[in-house]
Amino acid sequence: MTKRNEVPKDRTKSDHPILVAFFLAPAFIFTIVFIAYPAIMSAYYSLYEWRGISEARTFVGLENWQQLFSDSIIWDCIVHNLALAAVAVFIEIPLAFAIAILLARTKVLGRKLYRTAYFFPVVLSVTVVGLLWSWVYNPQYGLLNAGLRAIGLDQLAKPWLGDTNLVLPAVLLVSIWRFSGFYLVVFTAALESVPQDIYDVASLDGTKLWQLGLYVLLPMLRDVIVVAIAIAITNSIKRFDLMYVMTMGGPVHASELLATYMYKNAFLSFDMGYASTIAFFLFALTLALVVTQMQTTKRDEAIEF
Amino acid sequence: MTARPEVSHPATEKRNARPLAKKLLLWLPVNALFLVLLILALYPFVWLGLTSLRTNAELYANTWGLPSSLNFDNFVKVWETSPIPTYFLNSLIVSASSTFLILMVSSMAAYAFSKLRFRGSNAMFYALLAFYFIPPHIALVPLFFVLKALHLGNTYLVLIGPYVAFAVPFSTLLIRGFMLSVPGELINAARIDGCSKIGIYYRIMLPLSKPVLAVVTVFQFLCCWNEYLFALVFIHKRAMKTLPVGLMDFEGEFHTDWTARAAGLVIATIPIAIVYLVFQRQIMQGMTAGALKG
Repeated sequence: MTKRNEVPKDRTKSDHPILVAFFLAPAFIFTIVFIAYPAIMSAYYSLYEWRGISEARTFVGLENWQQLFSDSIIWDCIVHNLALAAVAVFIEIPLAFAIAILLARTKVLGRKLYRTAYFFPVVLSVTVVGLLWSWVYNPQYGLLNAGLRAIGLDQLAKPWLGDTNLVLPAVLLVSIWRFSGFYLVVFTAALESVPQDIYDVASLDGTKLWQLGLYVLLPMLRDVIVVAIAIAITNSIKRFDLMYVMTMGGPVHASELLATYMYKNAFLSFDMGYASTIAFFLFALTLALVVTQMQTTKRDEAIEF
Repeated sequence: MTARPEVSHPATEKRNARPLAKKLLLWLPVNALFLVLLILALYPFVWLGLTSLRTNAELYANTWGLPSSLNFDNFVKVWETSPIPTYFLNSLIVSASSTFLILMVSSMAAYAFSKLRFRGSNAMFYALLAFYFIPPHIALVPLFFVLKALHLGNTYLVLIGPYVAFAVPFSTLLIRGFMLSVPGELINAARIDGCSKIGIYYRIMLPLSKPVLAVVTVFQFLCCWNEYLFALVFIHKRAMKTLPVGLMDFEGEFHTDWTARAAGLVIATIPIAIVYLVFQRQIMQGMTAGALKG
């Protein structure tokens, strides 16, 4: 955010508005047409009862919002979204943090190979990941049940994605498998900025690795961790594709998320007004999180300096 | 590398004297742990690859079995009888055009926000950045009708437009950060040589920004390639579908032909794996930039 490299001679003079417009117009045209306008329309639709097929809309005021807060499926969705967030915050992030430290601070053969392998699931399309894991969980030909049967645990072989009690844990496991590598790379990059002196002092003092991680590196990387948590929760609220590909939110809404429920309302039941309300609700949740995160990290800076 | 006078600090001596056995005691489990995680991360792909080389009869007999011979029939069948090659081409066209536009639009905006002087520069930058926090979900329903009204249904444009729009704020942020670090002396020198502001953009700023442009290119290409929600809702014509959505149809069509399905998934995975291995650094930088700089 420094300005010291700006052209000193032109300091007093602004650039010609047409020149500025030439460079900025494309960015604003794209974002206004494809983001701002639809977002505003979404708020507008949320006040209407609209089937989407004809132009006929009925103004219903806040009825869609009333429906949202009394809809028990919405609460189920929130619980499932929160489960995704909880798994990310309490399993994926701590796991990735520990592994990042272990990878960086112990003599590991093929350190780069490990990092490359762990990150690979992150770059794949969710369709590939979802289809692959649907197959792993397949009752007849899936890896999991075949493995359980092979070691004589036939009674544990289950229709993982077809059981209302098992479907959510099964997908949460895929979430861990797919996203942990992301946080690992984030923390690995952040650890590179830790000065060598810290490690030197720690090793002179005979600090154990877990102590170093918990008492030195954790506080040092606090801001990165806060941002990682915020990203994890926002992404968990927005999650659509993994669940859609693997379970379509089913069976009987047992793995329904806000986004899959919104999609179903819009494009399966053609209730555009209610779908827009859900979309707006989802947006409000992510926005609240972003604001909270920004305040948390800002306050830290104020304390540190 | 200034010399440190005394190395014989008691703690270091103690550490060096730590018996080999004790070192191994830590080293072995840590390496074993990494190996186990490696297998967990990659084994599903190994299994997928092995299954794609087998026949359905072999699979039914034993899920975990190895292929009896190197048999690429499944790949030939999928490539020749399924629309996967079409999906591939569609994904390639949409991702490449979107990425090109993202680069152009974002680098132009980044140049204006980093090197041009105008009133409200900061406010406009933050206004653009605000779009980064709007989830695509909220645009989904209205965009569906906007695109329908514009008669853009089932063309590449219905995907390219939103992909560019949603990628521009973050890409601009990244490129602007890089351009801010380009020294003003370079631009001054160019000004004195009679270079216009537009000339400075494409003769100086763009070539100098190559590292960050590479990150944006690879990262955004991958995002477009993998995008699912818009591709699912906006495209209905089979011949126009992109790979992630088309792959779902394919899975339905080959429902009972398990080993062919495996081959389809392998075909979808391999190009990404190659791109990943070649551009690993750029992909990691692009994906983690949001967490490290946000």
